Amino acid sequence: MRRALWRAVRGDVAHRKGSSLLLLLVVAVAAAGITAGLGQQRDAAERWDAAFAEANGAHVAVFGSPDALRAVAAEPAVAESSGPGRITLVSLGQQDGRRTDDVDARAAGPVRPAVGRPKLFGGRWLSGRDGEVVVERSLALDLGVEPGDRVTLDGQPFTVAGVALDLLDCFYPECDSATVWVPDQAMAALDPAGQGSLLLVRLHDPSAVGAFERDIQARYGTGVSHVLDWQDTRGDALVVNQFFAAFLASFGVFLLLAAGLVVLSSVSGRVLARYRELGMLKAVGFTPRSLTLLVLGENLTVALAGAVLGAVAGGFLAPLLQLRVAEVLERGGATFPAGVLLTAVAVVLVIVAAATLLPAWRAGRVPASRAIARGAGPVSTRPSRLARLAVRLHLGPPVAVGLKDATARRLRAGLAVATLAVTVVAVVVTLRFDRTVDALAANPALVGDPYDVAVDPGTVPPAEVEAALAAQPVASWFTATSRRGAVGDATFQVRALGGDMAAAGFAVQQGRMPANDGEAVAGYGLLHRLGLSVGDRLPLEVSGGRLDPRIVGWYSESEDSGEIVQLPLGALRRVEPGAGAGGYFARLRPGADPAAVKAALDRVWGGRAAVEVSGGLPDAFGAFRLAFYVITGLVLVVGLLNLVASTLLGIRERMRDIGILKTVGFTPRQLAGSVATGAGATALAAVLVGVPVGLLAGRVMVDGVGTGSGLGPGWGSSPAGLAVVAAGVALVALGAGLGALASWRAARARVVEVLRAE
Amino acid sequence: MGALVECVAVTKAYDPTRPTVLALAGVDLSVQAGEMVAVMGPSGCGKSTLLHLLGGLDIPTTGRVVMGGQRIDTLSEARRAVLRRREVGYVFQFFNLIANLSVADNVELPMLLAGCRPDEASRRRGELLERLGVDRFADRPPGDLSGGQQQRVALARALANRPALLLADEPTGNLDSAATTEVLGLLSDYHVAGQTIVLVTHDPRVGAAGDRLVTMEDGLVRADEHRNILARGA
Repeated sequence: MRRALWRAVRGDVAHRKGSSLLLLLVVAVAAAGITAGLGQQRDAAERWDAAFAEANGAHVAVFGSPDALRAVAAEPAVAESSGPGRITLVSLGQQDGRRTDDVDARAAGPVRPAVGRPKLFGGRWLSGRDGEVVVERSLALDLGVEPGDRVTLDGQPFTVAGVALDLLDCFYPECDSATVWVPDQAMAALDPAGQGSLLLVRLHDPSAVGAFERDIQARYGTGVSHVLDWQDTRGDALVVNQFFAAFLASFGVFLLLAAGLVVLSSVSGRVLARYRELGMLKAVGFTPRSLTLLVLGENLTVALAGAVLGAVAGGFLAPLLQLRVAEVLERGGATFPAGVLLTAVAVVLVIVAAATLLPAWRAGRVPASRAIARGAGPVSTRPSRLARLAVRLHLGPPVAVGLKDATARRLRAGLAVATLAVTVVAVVVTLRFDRTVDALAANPALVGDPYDVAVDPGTVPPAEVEAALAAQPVASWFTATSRRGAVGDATFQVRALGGDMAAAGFAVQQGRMPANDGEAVAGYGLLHRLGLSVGDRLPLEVSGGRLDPRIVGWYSESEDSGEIVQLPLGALRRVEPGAGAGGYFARLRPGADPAAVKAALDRVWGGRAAVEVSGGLPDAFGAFRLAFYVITGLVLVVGLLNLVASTLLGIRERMRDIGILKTVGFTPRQLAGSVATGAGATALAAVLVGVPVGLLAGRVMVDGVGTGSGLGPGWGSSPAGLAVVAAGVALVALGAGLGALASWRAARARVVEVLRAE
Repeated sequence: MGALVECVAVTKAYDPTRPTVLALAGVDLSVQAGEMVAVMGPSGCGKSTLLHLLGGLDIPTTGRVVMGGQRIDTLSEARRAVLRRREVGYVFQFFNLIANLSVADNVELPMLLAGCRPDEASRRRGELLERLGVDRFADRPPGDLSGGQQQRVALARALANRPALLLADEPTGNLDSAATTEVLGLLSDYHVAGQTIVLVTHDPRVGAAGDRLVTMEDGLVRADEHRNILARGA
């Protein structure tokens, strides 16, 4: 029996090349999507953690005076430390003068530090000779700098000895300033005063960073100017990735759903098409169980081949979708992690098996004598209301027949509509996502950066900064300085705002900006984490004192996943009377060029203050978008292939009817028109179902991502109505066109042969 | 009276790689308006092929087919389809009704194709089905009907556009004796009313119903006998 079964499987797969090929393609597309998606999900977080472990990464980076940092290094909570070493902001120029960027020059010796040990990605570490530097990898990738290149630091020439990875902060340009390691002796020339130092520490208890930070800031006062902890850095580095993973996971579901529906309809169709043959197989001795196995076996054979092909293709696709984090952490190239490949193949096979089970079971229950005598059971002959309507509207018999045929097999028609509707949902969600990214790009306030130009005053006194800003086309400005605050063991960023706070332009989604020193506005992430809502009080410790502001609103913020509270500078000065204003953030008047303003301010201050133009959206969104287009494209291909397949199947089943239609006078063009009408109607139904579901799903997804990333719900944009309508019309036209193409053979079939074939 | 349809030196080879294997090996046949021609002969002699060529369902390999003075073998498939709509009705052995259309829709379809208004098509369909005794099945699928009933519906569909030529390929081949008698009676009724009919059959009873009997063998016409002509006064 087994041999007979195998022979039947082989024969059928080879005989039905077209439908086998379609199943293979659909399964391959699904497997490719899953492999690429899974690879992506696994990537960034795992790679970051691996890189952190390999580097013996610092749990806390402490900036401050050398004396204070030496004392911090001796704290009992500290397990291991590197430094303190000198650090200062310098201007890095490329040899051809193309670009200059502010970077952190960090002193280093010929031996790489034990804590936060930079991993070399090219060239070598500092040799101890003068005139060499090592450039941080994300900066080197962005600038296109390689070992052997010449750069300048504050005008002094250096040779790039190597490129190395640093995990102190998230990657340039999302976070700056990036690091350049400079030999100790050169550092003395770059920073004669030697005020700033950096200490990298590992704690006995890495989860206790919050308490440690609070403790040293309280005890060392101004000796510790600033701290970065590994949890925040990891979160910042991976925030875009989290967006991506959430969206990708949802899209993976679309892809799987579409593939499952396609397999279900294609296998059901194959069983119907072979109905008489299945009866014959029973007549020659196949049992119901062996027939079920036969159908399962032949579909799983084809699916296995498709899944393996697709998984390999997905391995090649993954690097194209790679986000910047993964790109910085590891060299690109096709990856074929066995676990991911096996998972993808297994998931696809399970879906195919699940979708095949019902039709396979039905195949086993085919009544032999009836099947042999009459073939597949009768289709619905109830007059189709649509077809009747078409006749009433004088749309002509081809339209009426097309509509009737498209709905003749209700289950198949339903599956075809459902599959295509999944495609429509994916397209609508992509359109929404696209608009949302455009909105983010057009309005940086949505990610918590409501400014065009930022000024780190350095040694320039506030009055001078404000006077210089007043001379520029500045609409308004505010100042911000950050501290670590805590509620219980939870620590977070406390940002004290000065200047024109009301006009700052933060994207306040509920409530308002603080109007007095007793009020605060929180990022959504903080409210979410602490379980608070607008109107509650936030009793927090900051700068060694206690504040109890009332939260009067929440706003969208991507930094620290939105775990930030903003309050007036006056409130901070209640507990820290000498608190400075910090950085200046200016919004320009409409039409003003931020680059020109930066150039003008640089001329005024001659490098004493660092001026930066708002970076806009992270580059990562570019890769993000590409990934969406690719996945939506795949879902679209699957949906349309299924439409073609079910149309072809319908044509094959109705070859005889088509012959009769020709006999009574249908022209080839009318036949093509009839099939095109059916396919177009299927696409139209899918659009009518898919658009509302897509709008809803897009909203839920974007809100979900917003809640997870700190932006909060309600920040996404609706897709442009025109784009949705255009996509719908295009899909219907495409469906009708594909239907007409699929009918090509039928339209040209020779009536005599078709009618004789029975 | 001029020929309604005419085959001149017609040959037909189905397999282009074996052009010497001929289904029709040179047939000349002229059918006058109002005739009922029965074509008989053993299986594979080319009867059905001849019928398909007469109605423009297929084209000859060589020779020509002329209908109403117009050569139809040189027309495009689309033009032949339009011609068939108006001028030709087909009835087949296996009825060939469209399974997923109701009886009514099957009959109305050719009328709608020919540009008839839906209400007019519906009225004429009602008349036809009533005359053929199957009007009570109008909303049923063809599969629910007996063989004889299905063939009546097929006849109604073939006659829907009042074609000049009715072609019937073994119209009783799948029917029992009683149904055969019924269908034959209906065909004769239409013939008496002036309908031109060409039918292909194995059944001598059916063959005898025609006023002309054409006998075929090996792709050629072996005999062509006119009968009952005087009786019909033609």
